[in-house]
Amino acid sequence: MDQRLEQARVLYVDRRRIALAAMIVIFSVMFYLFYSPGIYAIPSEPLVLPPGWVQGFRIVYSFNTVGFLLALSVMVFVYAFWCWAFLPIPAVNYTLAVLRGVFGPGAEISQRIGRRFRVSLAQTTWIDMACRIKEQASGIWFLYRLTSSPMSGPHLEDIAMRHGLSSKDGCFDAWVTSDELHQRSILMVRAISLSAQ
Amino acid sequence: MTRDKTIGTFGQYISHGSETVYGTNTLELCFARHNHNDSGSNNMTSEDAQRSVYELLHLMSALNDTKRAILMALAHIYPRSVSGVQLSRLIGYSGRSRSLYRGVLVHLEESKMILIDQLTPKLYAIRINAEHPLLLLLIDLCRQYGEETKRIYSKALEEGQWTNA
Repeated sequence: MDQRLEQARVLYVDRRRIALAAMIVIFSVMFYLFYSPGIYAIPSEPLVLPPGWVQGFRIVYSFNTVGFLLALSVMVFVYAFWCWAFLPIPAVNYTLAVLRGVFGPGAEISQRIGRRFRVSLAQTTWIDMACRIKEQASGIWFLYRLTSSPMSGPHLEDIAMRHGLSSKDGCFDAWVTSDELHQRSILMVRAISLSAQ
Repeated sequence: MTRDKTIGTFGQYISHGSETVYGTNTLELCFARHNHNDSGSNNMTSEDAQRSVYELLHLMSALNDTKRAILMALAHIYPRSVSGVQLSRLIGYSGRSRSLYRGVLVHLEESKMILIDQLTPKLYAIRINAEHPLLLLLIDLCRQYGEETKRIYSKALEEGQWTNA
């Protein structure tokens, strides 16, 4: 694996560990904050249960719990968003360096949230690249999904096959590992230019 | 056929266009047919064959080492099919064969380079896609010149079976 990607991997693992540790701390702080000021019970019919049980239920079935769960879900959402949206900087540098190597230093490369890159080739053609930091099933780090803009032409299927791509709804796409990124984006550009004729 | 004036960056390549002709007959022809039927009498066909060889080289060099090893092994032992464990042993894969299945093989299958038949829930038969225009050429080349290599692969497969049993 490239050195920058190795750095990015270490960084990602570290950050995730820190985030999880922080989540545990925040969880306990939140627990304290939401239940210490007093219980705001949700009005309900009286329960026919021993008094100790009723007291316990009143704590669980209260606005405090509603607030606590809301805060918890916000926290989980923020964590999930953070995992989904950002690629560690060294990995971004690697991707951009590879793309600039293929498409030239002046190429139009836009980076979007959700670890996606778009290389504009011409007015109506582009290549989208979405990076997956780790594929859970196979344990491959930094996998890219290349997708081209919709193409039209008579031999799309054949051109796709000859360039190691698959074609779906007129778009070429392929799963590409980080070490293949350079060569296979060249192949994809070749496929696009051939099908555009 | 393909004569581009300047290929600075690929962006220019597309916007300026080139005079590449990529017609039906060009696509359908492959080295194998050229070898068997036309015997090199037609100049066009020979160029198409060379184009196919170029494309095959380009494709193979774009794949990473695991995928390349898989395709080479499968092309040599064609038309045999192998199981995932056999394949991972054949290419000297260090990881678990399950991760080979779920990652590399699925991606190769998606780009129609290999075919995976599920025999039982846990047993898969993996073979190279002989309908792929470039891999057909690879199979043909392996048949013609790869007799010795094929023997090595076959021997490895058979010995693997013995140690398995």
